[in-house]
Amino acid sequence: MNYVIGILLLVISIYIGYSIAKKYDKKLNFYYQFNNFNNILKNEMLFSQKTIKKIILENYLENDYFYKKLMNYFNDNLVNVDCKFLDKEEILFYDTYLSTIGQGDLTAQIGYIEKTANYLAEKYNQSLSEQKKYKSLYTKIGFLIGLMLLIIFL
Amino acid sequence: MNFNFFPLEISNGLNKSYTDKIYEIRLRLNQPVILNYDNKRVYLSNNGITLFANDSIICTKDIIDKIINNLTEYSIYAFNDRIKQGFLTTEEGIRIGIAGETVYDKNSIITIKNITSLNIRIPHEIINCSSEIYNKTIKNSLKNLLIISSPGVGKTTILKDIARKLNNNTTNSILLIDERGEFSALSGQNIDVIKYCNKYYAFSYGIRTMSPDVVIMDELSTEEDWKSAQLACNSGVNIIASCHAKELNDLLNKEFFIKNVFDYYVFLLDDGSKGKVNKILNKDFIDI
Repeated sequence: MNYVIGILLLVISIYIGYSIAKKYDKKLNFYYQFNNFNNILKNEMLFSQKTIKKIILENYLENDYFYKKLMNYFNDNLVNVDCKFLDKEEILFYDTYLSTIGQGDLTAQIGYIEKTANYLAEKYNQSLSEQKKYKSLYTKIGFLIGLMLLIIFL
Repeated sequence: MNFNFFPLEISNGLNKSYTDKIYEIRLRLNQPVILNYDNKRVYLSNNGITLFANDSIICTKDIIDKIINNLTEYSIYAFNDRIKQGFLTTEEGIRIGIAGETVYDKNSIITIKNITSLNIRIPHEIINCSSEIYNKTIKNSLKNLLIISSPGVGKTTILKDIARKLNNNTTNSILLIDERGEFSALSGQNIDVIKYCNKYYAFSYGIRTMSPDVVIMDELSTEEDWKSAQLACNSGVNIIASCHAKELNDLLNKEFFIKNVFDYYVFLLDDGSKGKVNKILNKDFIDI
């Protein structure tokens, strides 16, 4: 019986470690999509003059946090998408981005998008190094705690 | 008519009115919403139209922003050329006049921000409203025709009906210069449309490339517009256009008015009705 509980605790610990580590994957992916969308937006604004709604529809990725929130905002804030992997300052930046894009003439918009691109590149690199550092760390910690519990129960 | 660009606060009230009787909706920041309803001034409440300003919906900044965002799909940059000229137009030809703070860079307007007033003009089709004009002037052969009235009396409605008649009854090629998208979904086997383009450019390239027999356009106002009309006439193309003026004297006193361009001058009745003819004058300004 102890053997079964020990194995179970090992699995749970690994899962918890993995879940915490996943936050870094989500954040990295979020900034990847954000950066990508920002570049698409700039090109579409400059060359096709498509509306933001059309640009979102053409590039929408299902189950992606970045696009989910984007879609919700431009459909009258129907559902609040919880991005727990972002801190307060990052959420505020994203909200400001949503309320700023589209709201001005082309020159002002391109200026804003280019400034945002620098910020996003920084954020992406930061998320990448955090993901490399912490993902394996939390997975390993989860595994080690699980292993300790297994040994204790055995 | 599709009013889906209105936020719920306004569309709920509109849905409880006879929308085909609405000619104009005026929204001014922090003021009651005013309708031209069957040529009467009324207010819009949550329960439809009302005669009392106290019952009216008050226009908020949020309402104006929502309307602009819905019309532009949150993309001012994509519509800025029109916003700079003070209007937006829906697919169905509803024209939304805009007033707010104009932003200048050197001598040119970049955009209009902090919008505080919207004047929404609802187009109405009046089939055969141009019959009298058509029969008396251009039925037998194309002529240059100027439709004249104060704003909101039905000039565009008349022009649309003339275009429809020419399309149905003749084989003439018709070029519609639709500077503000108000001719909306007007189409036909003989109709070509140049949209959202200034008249001078539309004239010069439209006449060269589309070889029209007749050009139909709204509101001659600037010197450039009048010269474009003259240029077209000199090129052997007929013009049917409209112009703001109340009386003949107003027209003659217009700064850029050019004589001998038009064969007929049609004055519309300004009694609250839409698209009714008051008098038709020939090129010597004699009643026919």
